[in-house]
Amino acid sequence: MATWTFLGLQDGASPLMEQLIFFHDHIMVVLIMIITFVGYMLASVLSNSLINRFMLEHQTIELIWTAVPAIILIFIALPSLRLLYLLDEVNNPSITLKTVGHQWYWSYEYSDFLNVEFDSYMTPTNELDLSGFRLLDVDNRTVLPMNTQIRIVITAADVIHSWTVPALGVKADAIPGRLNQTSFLMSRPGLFYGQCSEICGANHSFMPIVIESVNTNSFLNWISSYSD
Amino acid sequence: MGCDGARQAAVTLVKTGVLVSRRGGKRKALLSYCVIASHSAAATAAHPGRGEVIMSEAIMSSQAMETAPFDPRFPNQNQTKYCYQSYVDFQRCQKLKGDDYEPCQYFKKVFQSICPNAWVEKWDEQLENGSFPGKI
Repeated sequence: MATWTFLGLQDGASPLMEQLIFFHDHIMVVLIMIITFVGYMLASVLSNSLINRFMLEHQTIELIWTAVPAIILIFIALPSLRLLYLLDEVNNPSITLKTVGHQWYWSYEYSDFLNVEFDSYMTPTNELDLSGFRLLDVDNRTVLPMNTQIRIVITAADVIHSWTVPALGVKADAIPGRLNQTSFLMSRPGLFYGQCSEICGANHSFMPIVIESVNTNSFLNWISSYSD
Repeated sequence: MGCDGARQAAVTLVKTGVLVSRRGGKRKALLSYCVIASHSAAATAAHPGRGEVIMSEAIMSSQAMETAPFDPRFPNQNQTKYCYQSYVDFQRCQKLKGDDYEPCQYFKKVFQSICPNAWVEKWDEQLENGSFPGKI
């Protein structure tokens, strides 16, 4: 989860998020090289009082500074397209989680074998204990099994919301009357936080999402105890 | 319920003109049902007698987690139609075959997994009132 001054991406908890992070880092290298080079050129020209009176045409350099950016773009485009198609792969989920966005909380439904439903409200700051995360902790966390392909079906009951967990690389809008499906797999246990990502009224900033990733047996125990 | 069960249900619906495949003719539509049901067929084969889901068994066994399978008729992000179609197919299947016909339960399993409970409750109410907009 992010605390203040976190500028970068959160540690990946899903194989797809790890790939997104690698891609981001790869692009960042290319961009920093370009910026350094251009910045150096700019600085050297600005600090130079000499003028070249015979600068005309120069086909060679024109060719170079057209072809080289094209090649750089290919280095960016190929991993990008690979990742784009990877994110769209069809997989066979083992469990479906439904989430419905309301003003201003999320409700979750596990209906595959038992019908478990609950609401997840943010813990108000004045009721938070000393170790709690302000504006991120909720009363009922969404428990899910790790190393299991999970399908999540997202919708809303009133206005548009958006369900996201950055550590898993998942974000999809919650639109009333529509079911948006996305899929993920958590490769490690832990707590993963997210916040509503579509303006939905007064308490838009106060409807977070917490996923608790546990091993399969703990999940099965939790879900069977919940329905009792 | 295996490939045959789902196929039977699909054949009934296709024969009576209730289900019309949009692409590739009848065969492809039936084939897609088979692909869908083969997932549950594998599960049924691996766990004989799972037709009647015994709650405690399903809960305690870690291989028992099974959900609505990928349906190639709805490959993209928008699954609204998958939910609605499964609900309608279940109602039509029940109407055609009666309440005791086991293969109809496949559609029920799918819509219970995919459709928000609020939608299902609303549609059930509409069915009771006679105001359900779909053709059953």
